[in-house]
Amino acid sequence: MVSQSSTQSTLNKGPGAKIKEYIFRLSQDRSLIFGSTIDNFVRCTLEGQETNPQIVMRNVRQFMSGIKNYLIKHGEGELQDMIERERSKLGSSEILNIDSLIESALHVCVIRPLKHYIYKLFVQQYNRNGNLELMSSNIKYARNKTAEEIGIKPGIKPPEGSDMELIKHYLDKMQKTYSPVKKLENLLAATTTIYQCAKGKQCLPNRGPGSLGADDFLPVLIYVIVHSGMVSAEIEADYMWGLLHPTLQNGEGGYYLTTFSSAVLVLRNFRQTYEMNLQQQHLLRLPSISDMQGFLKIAIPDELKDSITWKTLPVRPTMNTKDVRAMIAHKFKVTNPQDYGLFLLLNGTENALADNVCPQLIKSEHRTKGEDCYFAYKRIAANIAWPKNLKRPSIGQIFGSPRET
Amino acid sequence: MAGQSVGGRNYNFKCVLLGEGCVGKTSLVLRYVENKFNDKHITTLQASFLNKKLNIGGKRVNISIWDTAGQERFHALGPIYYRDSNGAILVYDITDEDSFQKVKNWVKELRRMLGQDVCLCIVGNKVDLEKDRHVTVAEAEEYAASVGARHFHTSAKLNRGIEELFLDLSKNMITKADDNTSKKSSSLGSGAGSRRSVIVVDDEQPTQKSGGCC
Repeated sequence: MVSQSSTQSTLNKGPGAKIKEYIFRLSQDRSLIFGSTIDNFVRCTLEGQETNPQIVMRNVRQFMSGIKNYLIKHGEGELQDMIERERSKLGSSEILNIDSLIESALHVCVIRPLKHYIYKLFVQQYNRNGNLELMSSNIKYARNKTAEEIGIKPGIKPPEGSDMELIKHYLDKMQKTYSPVKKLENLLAATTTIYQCAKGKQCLPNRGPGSLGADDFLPVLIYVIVHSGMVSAEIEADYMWGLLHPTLQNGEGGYYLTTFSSAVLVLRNFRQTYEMNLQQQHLLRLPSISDMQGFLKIAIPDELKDSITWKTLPVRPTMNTKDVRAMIAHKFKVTNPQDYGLFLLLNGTENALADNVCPQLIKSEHRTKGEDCYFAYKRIAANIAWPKNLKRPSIGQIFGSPRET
Repeated sequence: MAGQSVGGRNYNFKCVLLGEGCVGKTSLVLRYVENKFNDKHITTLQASFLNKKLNIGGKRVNISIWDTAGQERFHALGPIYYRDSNGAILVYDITDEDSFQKVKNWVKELRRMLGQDVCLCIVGNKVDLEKDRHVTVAEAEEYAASVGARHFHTSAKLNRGIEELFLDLSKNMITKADDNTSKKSSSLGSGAGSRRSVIVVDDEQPTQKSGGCC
């Protein structure tokens, strides 16, 4: 399982440190097959024609697997003896993970000299396709939004102050290091800090220290990227995906890397989605037939079934309440129309409409104020508790889905 | 590691958790992993990614549970989470018909993207609110059967049905993994498709749970 501590353990100063150092020294010796192959590979890559960073990283991964196999099968210098020596020093519960030792040594020999080159290719690619610009403008845009507008639920406080500084510190370290494993460790350290400060701060009334599920965590991570101004987040994510050993992409590390990538995706389209949602809320919120002037949607409570039936009726702007009542009574064959009235529903409370007012005008007045108002036709004497959140039926329901009677 | 039963196989499964916000996905896993529930979600675990180890008839199973953000605006992120999943737990709230509809959408998408290799488990949560039920048992179970999914009723609050759900899902994933392995060995991997179906490891590595003491 990849977790912060286990990825760290692949790089620790334990019995493997000497071996790692030795492998590094071997890589510098161009008279050996190992060293000269690495040297060649690095030089060819730097001078190569390939401009797609993904392909370059794929080559790097393949090369590292190949050269690792070579080292394990053929050894080099005194590597085998050294492994044996270190092995004899192991405690009874210790092991030498040769694979991960070689892997991390190769990160130093192969990835470190290529880091800047790979970054350069990334910057070129994302400048070409506009992603960097898009990310930068979206981060700027999102900075002026509140935590809630970014998607954090009320009651969950985003990190701030020294917590935020600590998170930024890890993200900064993540960007600086060449090693994909160290990058992942720093990402995990940042996410752990996010969790810890959520634990301390999340303070809905009666709510103790909490834990964030994905519903809550993702928006907080998006917030963090916005406020640390990490325009290069996509490059960081792709660098890790491209260079991490596949086994590190499965467990916890893989999960948080996935979440990091998905935060990038959300952010890149932040402004577009945000503005579209606003439009839907205010202008296009109710793209139903009744939004056209000339139609009015009316709730008719069914007192027997305790339910609401919605009807969309042709109501011209000049028609007053009396006209509308007469029309409904006629259309639905109400035998005692004098007992029924037309009401305006605002925030769950009903107000009788005077005979001489025009419902369409009232509707457009409220619409321009951005308020939701609904109309109901019911028995005047009937006492009805309307739902606080009167959901308007979807288009499907208006056009005669089974729910409309 | 040394000392463990010989011949037992280790299974590492990835299991993605899908469902609308507020259906109780997070409470469900927390309840399972930590066996702790409270209306206010008090816990010390990082609830987005969790590991659970099981021993089923000598077979050691490690399930990594990947929680996903259920808000509608994050729907498009689904594929990067459920990629390479062995199982999917699709949670709805029995008092909320819309959330059941969402589950149906996920089922369609998962079957289209991952085919029959993924074990699906549909879960009607919040049976403690039976009196407000809006999705009938018959409807839910019929639907599950029609798409080759299992169906469970759970209550994270009352700790009901959760053990059963994960045990059943694990058994299904084991069966599927064993099937795939034998298929692979008999037809030289032609049936493996593009995705890794299961990762079988020889060594058990210690899990690191944050907040744990060891």
